[in-house]
Amino acid sequence: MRNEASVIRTRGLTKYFGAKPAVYELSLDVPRGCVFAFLGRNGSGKTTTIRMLAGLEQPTRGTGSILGCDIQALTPEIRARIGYLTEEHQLYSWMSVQECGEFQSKFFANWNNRIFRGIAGHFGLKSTAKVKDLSRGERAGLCLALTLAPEPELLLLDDPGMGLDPVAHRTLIESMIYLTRKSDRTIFFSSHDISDVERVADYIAVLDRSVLRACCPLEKFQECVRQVRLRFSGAPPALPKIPGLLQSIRTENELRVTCAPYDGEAEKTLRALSPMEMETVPLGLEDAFISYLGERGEKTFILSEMEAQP
Amino acid sequence: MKALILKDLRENLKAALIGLVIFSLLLFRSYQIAGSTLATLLAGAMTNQIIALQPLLSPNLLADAGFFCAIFGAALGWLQTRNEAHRDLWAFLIHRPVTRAEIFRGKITAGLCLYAFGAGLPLAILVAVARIPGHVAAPFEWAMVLPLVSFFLAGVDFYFAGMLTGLRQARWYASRVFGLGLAIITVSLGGTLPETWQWLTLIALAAVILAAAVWGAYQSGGYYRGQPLAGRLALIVAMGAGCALVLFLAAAFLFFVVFNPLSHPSYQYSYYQMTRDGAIYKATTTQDNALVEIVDLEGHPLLDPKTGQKMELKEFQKLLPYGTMVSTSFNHWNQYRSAFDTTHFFSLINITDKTLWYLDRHGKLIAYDGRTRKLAGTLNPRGSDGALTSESFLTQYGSVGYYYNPYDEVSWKLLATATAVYRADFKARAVKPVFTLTNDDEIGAYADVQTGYEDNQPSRDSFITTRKTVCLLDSAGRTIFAVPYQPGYVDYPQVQISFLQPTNGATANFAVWFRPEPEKNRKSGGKMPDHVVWLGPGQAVAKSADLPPLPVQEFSSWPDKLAASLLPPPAHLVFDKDISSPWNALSFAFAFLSAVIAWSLVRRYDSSPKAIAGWTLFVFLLGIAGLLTLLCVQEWPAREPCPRCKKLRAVDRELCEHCQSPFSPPEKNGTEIFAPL
Repeated sequence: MRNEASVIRTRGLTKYFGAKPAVYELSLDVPRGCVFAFLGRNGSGKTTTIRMLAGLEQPTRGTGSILGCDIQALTPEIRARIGYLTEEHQLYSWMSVQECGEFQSKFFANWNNRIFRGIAGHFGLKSTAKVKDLSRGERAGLCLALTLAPEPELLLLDDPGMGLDPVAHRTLIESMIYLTRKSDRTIFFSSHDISDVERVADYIAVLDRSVLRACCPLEKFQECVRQVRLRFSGAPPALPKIPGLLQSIRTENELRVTCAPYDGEAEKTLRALSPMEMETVPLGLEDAFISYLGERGEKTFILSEMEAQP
Repeated sequence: MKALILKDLRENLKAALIGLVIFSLLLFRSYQIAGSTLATLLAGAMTNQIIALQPLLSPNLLADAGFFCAIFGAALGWLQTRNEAHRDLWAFLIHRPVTRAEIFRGKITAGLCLYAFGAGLPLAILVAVARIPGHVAAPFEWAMVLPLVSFFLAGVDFYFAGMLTGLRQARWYASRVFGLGLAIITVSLGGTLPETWQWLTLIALAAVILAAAVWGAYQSGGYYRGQPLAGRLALIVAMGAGCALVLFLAAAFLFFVVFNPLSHPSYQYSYYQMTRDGAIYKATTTQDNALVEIVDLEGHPLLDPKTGQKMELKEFQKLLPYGTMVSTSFNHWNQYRSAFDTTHFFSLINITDKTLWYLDRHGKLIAYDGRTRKLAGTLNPRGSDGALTSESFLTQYGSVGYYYNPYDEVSWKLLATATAVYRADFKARAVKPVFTLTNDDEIGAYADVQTGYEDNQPSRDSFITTRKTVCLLDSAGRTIFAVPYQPGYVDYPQVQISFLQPTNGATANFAVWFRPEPEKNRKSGGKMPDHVVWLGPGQAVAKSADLPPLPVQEFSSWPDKLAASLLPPPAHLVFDKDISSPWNALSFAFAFLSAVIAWSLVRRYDSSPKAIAGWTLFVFLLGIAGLLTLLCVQEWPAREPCPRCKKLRAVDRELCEHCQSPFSPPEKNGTEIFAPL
């Protein structure tokens, strides 16, 4: 995974809150100029990782660098090159939209007011409106405008669409896609919305219970997470140990098995069960993601057995 | 940084305005009290708030200002940080191309401006009002501003402590406020330090420490870990002071609420009293001032002639003579008793024709017209040749700025310089010498006393002590009596005169009582006896006696000793100067035990020898308070079993402290998908 052009690089990055690891031994490289989706369930450590990368949280151990600078000693020059959008879109509630822009512009040499006004306009924000009076979506738009107007080289976006209604969400993602697409700009974002990821991401990394389990191009992930449907003449036989098994669903004469990665060894094991039919079902990213992070193990949906149960 | 300053100014302006209004009202009330006190005096009534004539010195105002500046400063500092306590807003503040030190500077620039606006502006206006003639009918000098300014500056300590409270990410939530401890201690010490400059130095030192702790907190987002060394040290000092204060309060609670009622210490206190006929009795009371017994020097109880029973304290007090006591000193006339104390600045000695006559701390007689509230003039002592002298009047012992009783006043008064006694005639505005020392002697104490037991007797005598003699002068400056100052003033500075009424065959008209310096007497084990001289007919010495020494009272009992031994050993030594005392040993034992615990804790979590040695020494010096500080400040990392050596190892180290093996990568579950990017 080593990449000399990495804008983000971590090695063994770990964060404990009390006795509980929030992020455990995270080693990651994010190439320059890509859109990198950082995925995981709630509490898996995405926000903590982003906060550590932004130098706002101290790692318990491990190292990390961002734009070549140690994350524990980010200089003002490096910060000027990083745009960071927090997940709850908090701003000074007493400021107006215009005051927010003016305040932020005083700090950034590359401040582009056209971008600020453009995004604010895209969200229909009045310059005199107070932050406290803005809707959640409008506040997210204002935060995005404040993050993008300095034209940062690297964007760290922590679940930018969280809590937004579908229209606001779409507006935000459109702004993100169309206004940030520059060849040398890197976007590192976390999200729960897989359709966003599907639309914009080049690479994904998946955290599962604080541990990085996947880091690859988007297509590779979809390719690796497969569901196989096996038909039997009677009740499906007991499933042997299959490497990478995520989930199996058993019905009267069918067995659906989801594996990651689905490789030759897994296929060989399944064929050994001598099914009547065996076909690979394509999975959408959302299904693949849910299978990947969902509940593991076997589920049985045999009606006769279920009815027989007290 | 300008944008940040303006943002913070605007964000907290409302709080500053509220502070401005509250403090202005407090100061205005004090100004009004000065006016009403003046009106009371001009109407010929009595008041006990003389010092309030100058609102800058009013004890009530000082208390109000002290509390206001502390609360306002702490609230302002806390608000400035609490506004950005939400982690996302904190991120919005921090994530910009400026250093955290610049953010800190911007914040405190705005905060101190707002503090100056809310607390400093009303104060400046009050000082201006007091300074401009026609508003306050009392002396003004710039030094009078210092106590108020000190409280104002102490508010800056509270401001930083408030910021620290808002910023600190503490494991023990309540310990966030411990930073306030240093500010509280700093203000409280103002009541014990004799000089204002000492207090101001302490305030400045505390401000530097607290500011460094806040600066450190900005560097690390409020955590101890990740702070620069200076920030960590400042935080340790600030928290150490807070923990020591908490421990002190806990010790006081133990003493007053738990131990003391259990122990019921029943000490008794004995003292000598002379009755009007010149007889001396020993009265013994309990700590609650309940009478145990009154006996004569032979040990016979004093009986009430009306009842034939033992005399009650109330009845005994009716037998006591008029008199006064002075404290002889040749160097410390104007010594501050504490930086809080403002009563030494002047005393009101006379009101004649609506003119208030003050004796200021420099020994100058100053008159203020009560109607116009303007300076009406000054009176200086003149020598026997009529020429003005450079001498200043001595401040009268006990004549502090609280009390003025107009009912026994006449339009003249006897005043003394170091070498002469003067009659100051306030109606005629003249000062004439009535008595001058003829040798190289010097007046060491002076008090004017009302003589006789009849009402409406205007006679005033002067009781004077010099290096060599103790004498009483009448109102014309004639010597009524003079006795040698024996024993000398160094060991016996306190001299008391009693005006006797000879009865039952007694002939003495006066008694002069020489009392030993209390601290010296305590050190000598109470072996310095009170010396009494009776002056009989013709004012010759009729009799003199050394009274049997009284036992030195040790008021402390085991509860306070035990409670005090919880304090840091250096602080405990202040309470118990006896190095060999078992309570000192106990205090050091607590400190040693705390240091051992600290050593073991720090060693477990931090392998740095400097940290282990530093913390162990710090905890040994501060005792239990040091251990509390360690527990409050340090963020202990979790520990988990090392897969190799199975021992518990701290999770914040790259290698196991026992077997030096690195942390293993996460266990694979077979679903990993990694591909080159």
